[in-house]
Amino acid sequence: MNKVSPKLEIAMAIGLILFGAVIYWASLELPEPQYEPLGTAALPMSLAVITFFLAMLLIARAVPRLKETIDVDDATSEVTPHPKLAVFVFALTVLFVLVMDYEILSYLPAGIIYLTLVGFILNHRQVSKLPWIFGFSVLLTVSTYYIFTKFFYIDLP
Amino acid sequence: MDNLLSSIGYIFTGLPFFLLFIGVFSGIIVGSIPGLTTTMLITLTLPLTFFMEPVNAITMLVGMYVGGISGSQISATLLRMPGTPASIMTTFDGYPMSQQGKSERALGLGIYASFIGGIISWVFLALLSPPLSKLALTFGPWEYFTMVLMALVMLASLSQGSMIKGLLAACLGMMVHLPGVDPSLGQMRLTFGVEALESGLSLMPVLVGAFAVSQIFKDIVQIDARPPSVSVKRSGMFLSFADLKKYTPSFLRSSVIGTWIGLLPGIGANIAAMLSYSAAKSVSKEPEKFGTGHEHGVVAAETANNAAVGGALIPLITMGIPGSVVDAILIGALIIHNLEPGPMLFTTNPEIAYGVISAYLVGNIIMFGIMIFSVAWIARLLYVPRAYLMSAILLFCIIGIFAVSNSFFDVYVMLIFGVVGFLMDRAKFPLGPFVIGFVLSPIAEAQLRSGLMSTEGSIEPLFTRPFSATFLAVSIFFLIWPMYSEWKKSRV
Repeated sequence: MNKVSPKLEIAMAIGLILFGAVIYWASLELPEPQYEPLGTAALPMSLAVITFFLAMLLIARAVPRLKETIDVDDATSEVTPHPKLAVFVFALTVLFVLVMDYEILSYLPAGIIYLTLVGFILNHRQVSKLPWIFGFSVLLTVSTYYIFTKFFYIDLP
Repeated sequence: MDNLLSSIGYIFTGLPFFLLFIGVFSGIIVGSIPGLTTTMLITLTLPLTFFMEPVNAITMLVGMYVGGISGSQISATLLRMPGTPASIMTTFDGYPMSQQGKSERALGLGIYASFIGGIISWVFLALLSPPLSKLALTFGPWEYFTMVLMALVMLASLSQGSMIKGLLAACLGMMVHLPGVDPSLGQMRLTFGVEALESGLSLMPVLVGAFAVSQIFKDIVQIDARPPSVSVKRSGMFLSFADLKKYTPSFLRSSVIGTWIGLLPGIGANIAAMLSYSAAKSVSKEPEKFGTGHEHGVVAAETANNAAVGGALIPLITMGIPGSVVDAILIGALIIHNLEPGPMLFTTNPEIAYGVISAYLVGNIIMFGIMIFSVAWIARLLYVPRAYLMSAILLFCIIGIFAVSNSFFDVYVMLIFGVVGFLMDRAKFPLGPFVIGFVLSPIAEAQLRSGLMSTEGSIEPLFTRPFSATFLAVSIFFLIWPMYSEWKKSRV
């Protein structure tokens, strides 16, 4: 049976408690209610409190399962999971956005490099596929550039 | 009636028909490819609709919705991999039929069932929506607040997985919408000194991040998944008059179940298909054949899941309450186009309200034509190389979001919510309550506070006004019922 790792559940619950705590703390500085009894801080504060209790309940349910052997999704899947691949592609995506945001490269060269690298990694670094991946990257980047700038009149970075 | 007829006529003019066709076609393709979802397609298309007339934009998105639900039966039947959760029940009998060499017959039954389910639920949509919107016009802030509360609680408690996670996801969605201007008094709150947060987090980057980006990373983790090869012929897909006569009771029963389930907030097309399948099995003279390639199983599942789409559109256009996640995104599309979803839509923008109804009808007809004549060709698209597909979608996400606001802030927000959505999926937190919490929380807050202002702080109308008391009672029931059934199970 596919179950969620209790460690992940606890981590998510702690993350939600922390997020709720930040919201609660920031709501303390909001002005007092004027025209009705709730005011602007009521919803953020109540949501933070509800989140805290629900997250604690989730932790309380997950802790006893820490000692159990868990069949998580990836372990039962027929194909080999590649979590590192996802992390690497995410890092490349952030880098691609940063490069354009800080005007190091414009969309056309950055897009071609980004798509080539992502395609190469997702094809398990098969050098024989590189010319196809590069061709696809050039075609997609150039066509999207022209569609956005000439058809939708949107300037890309 | 005149409004409806002129709206149907408008759909058949050049551009709206072309956009609807593109919407249905792309919906079918995306719905048929496991790993790509209709929600992902619609969220990715939203930035492009920004530059369209609102009625054309909504027409195309409704087409995608219809196409996506129908297209998912292709992979469900051929590969036992439903394109969307709505087709899970189709795998029970569609796949065994395919294994017995009857894939054309299974697909043909599914296509006819989808079409008939869609048309019957359209009749309900067209007949019920105008009077319901008139009824909803009598609603005040208390009714609206309790209705949103009911939608959130139902979605959280009925979504797959635990109710605690559903409620936590709803709370997170509501908290994420807090920064920016307070919807009641216009005061600034929770901006943390960040200028970009003064206008709050936009719907688009949050949606695209949570649904599209997270899905891509989920697919990258499983990049080596390859479906087995199956071929399909067009012959044998058409049903005879005798077939249609034989399945008429099943079409009618499943359509009513699908429409009714679709009407209720939070209960999606997958539950509709499940209930319809169970009903078909319980009235069948051969219940033991269900699950082994029984034609009635395919008909029941596919009729109900398509009918649920029409049912879910009823609360959307009459009250502005989403029946499913896709409906929440459609509400977002209306907001993006400066339209106010809710009962006033029939008065202020009848072309949009009737546009949704007409697009649903014509979309079903187009879906039938595309599916019956090109399903054999569409089936080949199941084997598109994922590496190219994933990188192209990622690029579209980035430039699509940048194009809407011409700002990199929204692109970073999208990436953050991509990670949040991915983690929520891994931890089995449902994304539906998160999105609906995000979309509906400002409405709920504004309505509650406006109600409190009008009664000088008294909450008595919550219990004394018949509709708000009913909605509140339903919310409490759906909050307590899962806890009670879980407690009962633990005692056994």
